[in-house]
This record gives sequence, C-alpha cells and structure tokens, in this order.
Amino acid sequence: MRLLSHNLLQCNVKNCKSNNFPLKIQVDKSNIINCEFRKEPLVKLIPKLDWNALAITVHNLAKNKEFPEKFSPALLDDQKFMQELHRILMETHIIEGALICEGCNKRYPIKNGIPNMILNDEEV
Amino acid sequence: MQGKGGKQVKLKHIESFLSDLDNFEQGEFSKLKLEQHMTPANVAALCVSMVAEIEENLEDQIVGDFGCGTGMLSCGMLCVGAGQVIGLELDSKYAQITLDTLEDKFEDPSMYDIININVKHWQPPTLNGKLFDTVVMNPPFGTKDEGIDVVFLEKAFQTCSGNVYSMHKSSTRKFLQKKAEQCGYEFTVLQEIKFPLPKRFNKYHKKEVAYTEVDFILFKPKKMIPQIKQQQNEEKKVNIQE
Repeated sequence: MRLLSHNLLQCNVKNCKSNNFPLKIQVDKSNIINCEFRKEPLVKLIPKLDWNALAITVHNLAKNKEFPEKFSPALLDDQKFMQELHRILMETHIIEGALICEGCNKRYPIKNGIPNMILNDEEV
Repeated sequence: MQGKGGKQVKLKHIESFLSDLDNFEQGEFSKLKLEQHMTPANVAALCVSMVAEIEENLEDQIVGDFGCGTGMLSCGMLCVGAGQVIGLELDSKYAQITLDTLEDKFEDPSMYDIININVKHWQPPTLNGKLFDTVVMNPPFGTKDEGIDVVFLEKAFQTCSGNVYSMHKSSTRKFLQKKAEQCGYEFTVLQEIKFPLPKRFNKYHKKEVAYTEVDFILFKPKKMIPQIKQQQNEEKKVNIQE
C-alpha cells in the first residue's frame, strides 16, 4: 500500500466519527521502489488529495518537518519538491504494519502490502 | 501494445494476456453469498478495449476496480495503458491473489495497490476532490445480497470524477437507468454480454454452462457547466425582451 491509497481510507467502524482520518501508520517493513518520474499525473493528483492528511502522515512517518503543511502552487515548479512528493506517493510501499484509528484505537493490519480494512460483526 | 493489424489483433492480444488468470476455486460454499463470478478473459478484453477507446489520457489516470476478485479487470486496464489501478476486494484470499497476479504480470509496482475492504462498509473520507478518474468494475449482481450492485455504483459515483463502467444484469436495466438519471449520469449500454455463471458451487459439475444476460454500462457524469451556461443564456434572453 502506498500513501496515495492511504489517503482513501478512514476508520469505518460504526459510530467512529471523530479523529478517524488520517489513520496513523505503524510501519514494520517498507520498501522504496524506484519508478519513472512523470510530472503530469502528479500535478493532476495533488488537488484531489487531502493535503492536510498527507502532511500529518509524512510528519509522523519520516519526522520530516520540512514537508509543507499547506500546498501552494509555487511548489509545482519546485523540481526537488516534486521529486520528493513522487517518492512519497508513488515509490514508498508499506509492506507490513498497521493502520491505527486515533479516535477508537481500531487496528487494521497491513500484510504483504495489503491493508485489511475488514470489520468484525460488532463494528458494523 | 497497439497491434499493427488494427483492433482485432489488439483484442486478441489482450485476451491472451488475460487468459492465464486463475478462476475462483471450486467449492468454497461459504462464499456463495459473495456472488464471486470471474469476468471471462474474452469479455474483459472486449470491455477494457472499449474503455481504452473512450478514455483520453488513460496513462495519467487512476482507475478503480471495486470488487476486483481475481484481478481480471485490473490487469486488463493496466494492459490497455491505465496509469494506475487501485483494486478493492472483500475476500482476503483473492485480494492477495490479485496482488500476486499483478506483481507477476507488471514489473512496476507503482502501477497498482490492492485494499482488502468491504465496499459496503467503506466510508471514503471527504477529500478535496474525487481520487479516481475512472472506475471499471464487475460488482456483485445483487441476487444474493439485494441492492449491493447499487451500493457499488454509489461508492463509485462518490469517489470518481469521470466515467464509471460497470457490469449489471440486463434485467435491472430500467431500474439502473433511473438511478443514473437521479445521480446526474448519462446511461449507455455499451455491450450486451452472455455471461457464463460460475459452476463452482455446483456439486455435480454439470457440463452445460448456464448463462445470464449482462449489460456493460457506461455511466457518464453530466457536465454541470453547460446547464449554468444555458441558465445564463436564458437570463440574457429575458434581458433582451425587457
């Protein structure tokens, strides 16, 4: 799972309505696998993301406080930043670990690169 | 990928690329309710090539495959040049099989992600925009779990900014047409398909294959802008009359 997909997931437990996004990532194993840098899809993707959720996640994971909390259009021309963003969104794969809801403490395991978002009967 | 001999060659090429995907396993009676029916390779090839013809800039798109099953449509969409596919699957076993298949067939892992999730319980966060550019799916038909087909469609409309392509039983056509209208989508049946029903729950493995009529449907979001323009024009007309 990459942070691109992480942006699509919030806690789905019934009645868990606050502090349920973004899910906190516990990383036990991750890989960075290089792929071709293409600017257009990235530029198209940025306005669709929840930037705040991405920034919180990057700050937590990489302790990278330089990652901008707010997006500004000037960043699109910052080649170094765009490559960093490409690495974060497209090339970083969480292989083992978990997604944890900070609202209700529900833990969604990640195994073999697949997050398991399935709920128990009592959570539906 | 573009075959020199035109469309036919290309279609054959896609079909053969998809032909070695494993089907759902026989038995697994507890999964009867999930309505897991693999899209046959020839049907998938035809459908993804239709999508590829309609969609522009497929290479820049994020495509959703909700209820990806064995990964047939995900593979097909990557085969015709989709930039990325994100597959959602309820059955953990087949989520893993789909990921294995994708890893086997495509070297670049930045082309796909698989999420093990029940689409029915998925509450997508309110993002700034809709993450998916296109959704191509073969959801459960809703015979065993009534209304699940519509749930899949609604999640697709909620998370996809562009066209939603989906397979549904032809018997539900009128109902879905109405649903599309209510949600602000144009409704087009792209292809009528004779869909083979799975035999995996049949104890006796009868030789005859049973078919069901299925529509491959394009749900195209109606553009809001022309409506506003129309309104403005009408206002102008009023002004002129005054």
